[in-house]
Amino acid sequence: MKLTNNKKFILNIFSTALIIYAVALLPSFAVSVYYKETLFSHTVIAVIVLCLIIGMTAKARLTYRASTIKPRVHFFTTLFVWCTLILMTSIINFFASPDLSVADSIFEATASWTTTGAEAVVHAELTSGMLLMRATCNWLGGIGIILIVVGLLPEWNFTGHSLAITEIPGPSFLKTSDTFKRTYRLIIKIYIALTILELILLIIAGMAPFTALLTALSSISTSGIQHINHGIVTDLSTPIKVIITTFSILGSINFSFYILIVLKRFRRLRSQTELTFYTARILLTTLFITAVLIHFDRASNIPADFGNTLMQVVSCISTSGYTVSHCEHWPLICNYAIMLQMFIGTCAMSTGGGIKVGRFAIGCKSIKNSMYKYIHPHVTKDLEYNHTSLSIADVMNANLYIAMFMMVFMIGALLIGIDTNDIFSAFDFSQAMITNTGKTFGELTAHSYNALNGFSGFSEIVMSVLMLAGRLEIYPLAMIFFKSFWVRDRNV
Amino acid sequence: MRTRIRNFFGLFLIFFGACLVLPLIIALACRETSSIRAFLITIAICLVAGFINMRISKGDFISTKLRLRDSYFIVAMSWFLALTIGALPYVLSGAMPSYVDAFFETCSGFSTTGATILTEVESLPRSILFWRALTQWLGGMGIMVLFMALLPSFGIKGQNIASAETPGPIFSKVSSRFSGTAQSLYIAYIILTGMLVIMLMLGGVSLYDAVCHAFTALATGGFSTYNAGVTHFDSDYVYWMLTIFTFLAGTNFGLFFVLIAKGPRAMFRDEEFRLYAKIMGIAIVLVMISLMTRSGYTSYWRALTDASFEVVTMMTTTGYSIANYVEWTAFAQIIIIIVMLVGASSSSTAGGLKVVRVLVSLRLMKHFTKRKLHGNMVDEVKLDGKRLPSETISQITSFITMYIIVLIVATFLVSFSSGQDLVTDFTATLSCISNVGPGMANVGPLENFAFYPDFAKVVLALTMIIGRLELITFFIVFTKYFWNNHAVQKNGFTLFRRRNETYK
Repeated sequence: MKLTNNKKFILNIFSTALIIYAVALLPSFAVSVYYKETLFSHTVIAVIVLCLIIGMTAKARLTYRASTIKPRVHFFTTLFVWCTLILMTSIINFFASPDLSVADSIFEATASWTTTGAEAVVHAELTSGMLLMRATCNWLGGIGIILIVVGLLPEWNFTGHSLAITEIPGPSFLKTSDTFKRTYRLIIKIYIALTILELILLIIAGMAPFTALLTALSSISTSGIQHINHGIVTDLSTPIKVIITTFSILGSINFSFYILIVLKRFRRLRSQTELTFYTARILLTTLFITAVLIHFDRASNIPADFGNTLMQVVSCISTSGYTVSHCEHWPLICNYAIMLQMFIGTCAMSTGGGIKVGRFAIGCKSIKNSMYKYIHPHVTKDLEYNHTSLSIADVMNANLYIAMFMMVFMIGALLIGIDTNDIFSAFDFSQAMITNTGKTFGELTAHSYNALNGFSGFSEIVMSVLMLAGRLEIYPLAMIFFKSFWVRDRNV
Repeated sequence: MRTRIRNFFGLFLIFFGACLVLPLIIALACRETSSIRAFLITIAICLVAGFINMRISKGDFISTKLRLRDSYFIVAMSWFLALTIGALPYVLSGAMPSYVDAFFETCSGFSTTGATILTEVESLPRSILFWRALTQWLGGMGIMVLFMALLPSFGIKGQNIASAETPGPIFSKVSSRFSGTAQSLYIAYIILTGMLVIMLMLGGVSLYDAVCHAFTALATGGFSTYNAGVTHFDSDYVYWMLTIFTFLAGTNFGLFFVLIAKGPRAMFRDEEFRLYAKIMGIAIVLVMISLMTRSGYTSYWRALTDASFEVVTMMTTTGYSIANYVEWTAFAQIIIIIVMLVGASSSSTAGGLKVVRVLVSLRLMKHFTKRKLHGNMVDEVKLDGKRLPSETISQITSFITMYIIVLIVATFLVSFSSGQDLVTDFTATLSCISNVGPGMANVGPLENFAFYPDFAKVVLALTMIIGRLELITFFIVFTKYFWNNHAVQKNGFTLFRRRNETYK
């Protein structure tokens, strides 16, 4: 069979991703062998072998020549790789845990890859191997598997930027004088360094090493800490909470921020509108909630309350979604405030989800700008972002994404609404899934964890699609509906 | 400049006083002493204030040109006047003792929302109920548009004022002169109202009820003169008449002239109208399926009547109801929430985001997705075969963002003091910003807004006005750009002193 260039391109990325995935599963396999979890270890080794066989055979057949690949193919590759890896993980879920249905396993897999951190059923006790596998998927999905592939592929002949931005889109403004490839490697290095740092700090703070590893992997990728009491971690010691909070913030800010630090571009650091907006949002929300608590006489010790609130706010704004404070005692308005912040979410080029701060900032500025234009219709006034002016297309794009996000959110709620008779929970679950937070308002206010026991397989599939849409920022999924996406071209 | 605007307001107040004569006549006919006094006092206030303003502003005002921003100011200010004065009859007649309640009711009236704080409607004097319906009718097509249709010779740039007041991003012209357009719009409006009155009377509704309901149906308002709302009539004929006429009221009024001039095919070629009908059709079918399968309806006719009545009145933001849709499935309720948000056509009397904006953003989504798919593709966003300027599109997209933000912030403010659940607060706010009337849960079709505390009522009332004036006209008055450019009159020339204007 003669492969076209497009197919070679797709296969190249695909096989590399599979090999990376197989290698990443090895620790989980080792752990499960160590703890004598036979069912899981058998399943996982079968999948590892399967991935390696497919990956190696595909690799062996490839003789890659550099050529221009169309954006369409980039998007297809991203979607294809993500779907395959989710499928592989759901195979493991399905065969390794007898209490999961097909839809449950797909949901679980999507939740771990998209860093949502929701569970399909409440497990009494997950096996250690399974926990580590989920944390690994969180970690890989957090930074983006495609980005790792692009960073690691040795024979990469062009920059790979156009491929990587299909996975981490958004107004990223990641332009340094370096090559994109070096930038991506740098991002991966930074990501690994942050994870290791968190692991060490957690162990020093007194956490058991294995739990610390799981926590580090899933908190830097802003997935939530589902392995400790289903994400309700109010009982942890204060230093551990502080560490988790710090690394949730670090994982949810724009990675170009670290690159600018590493490359010593301090002047550009100062003009990061996104970072300013993000920190301002965290602080203002925290201040607001503390003020409300004081107003309603719920605050006993103001500095401690401020700290607790800050940790909870960070948990939700960074779209991690774990319960760290007793927010069930808060007035409802505080929880509303937190929920609104979940929609806006984190910075672009980070491991978090949501609309993204950059887009929201541009949206707010464009409102101001359009007011000005209503008064002075003939004046040309550009919108400034990071001290550079944006083109009108960028501004429209940002605004449109907000509308699109809301549209998908509404459609998601509508489809989930087939299954439930409560409008609020339909919206609630749709929100938790599309923002990749995984924490519903109901859970937040009840201080409980109730999984999706009431939902049918159809709703779970809808939620999986929503999570994927939130993670890949809608466009790759929207493209499925375009005829021109499926056109084959003879690129030989 | 100032004299010019003051003169304008003087005339407006007198005009507003004249509008109040209609309910006064009803009050005289029904011998309702308390409301006769209330209307007389209000009319007197209007006339005195109007004449004082006219007297002060004697002078040569024809030579002054009104700037673009003055039209926003005039519309915002005259709505403010209409709302504060329009609430007086309610308070003075003793129908609503609290001014906040009366203000809420007036806002709900002029903005054609139809949300009410009254638990008991039938006990009110008939003239007050008529005034309630009339406020909706006046607010529906725009009180300033009516003013301009009646006083074409005032020489003001009516187009600007109309686009500041009429719903929708694109103001379609019917006649070459603006006052002609205003007159045509009102003629269509009056003819439709008259037709509905006759149709309702054929169905056995009394003249008074027919007029009141025709006023609120054509304005897509939704006030009724009965506690039970339109279910009081209990006749499918009346329900279907209201469905058809609210559907027409949600159509772009300019299209009726297209219909007369070029026939129905030209009307169906209008893309906004097509999408409007399409969304409505799909929503009706989905709701019907949901009703038949999950809500225990057995008759197809009943399900069709209920589904189409509810979807049409909610989408045209009228807000009548013949079924308690709060008891329907979540699926059907979310469909209703979605159509509430979308709203009806531009240049109609309805509220909401407007179908044309949704249409343009859907096109734009397609456009951007294609652009991402095919890198260097050249493509344009078109509406009715014409290329849309990027300025307009950008304003539409930021409008949608603004709508979402205002909706969320208002929900937040309402829930601050209400103590209700989030669904109630959110749908109440959505209902107010889209000018619908009822919401879900505790503000459902059988409930009212009486339980909200005063703060929440004021926020909701303002939200209605913000929604009716399409955000911009309301918020623009509060921007610093609006005030920082003073026009100074010297020797007959208008000089603009620019301050703080760095275009960056």
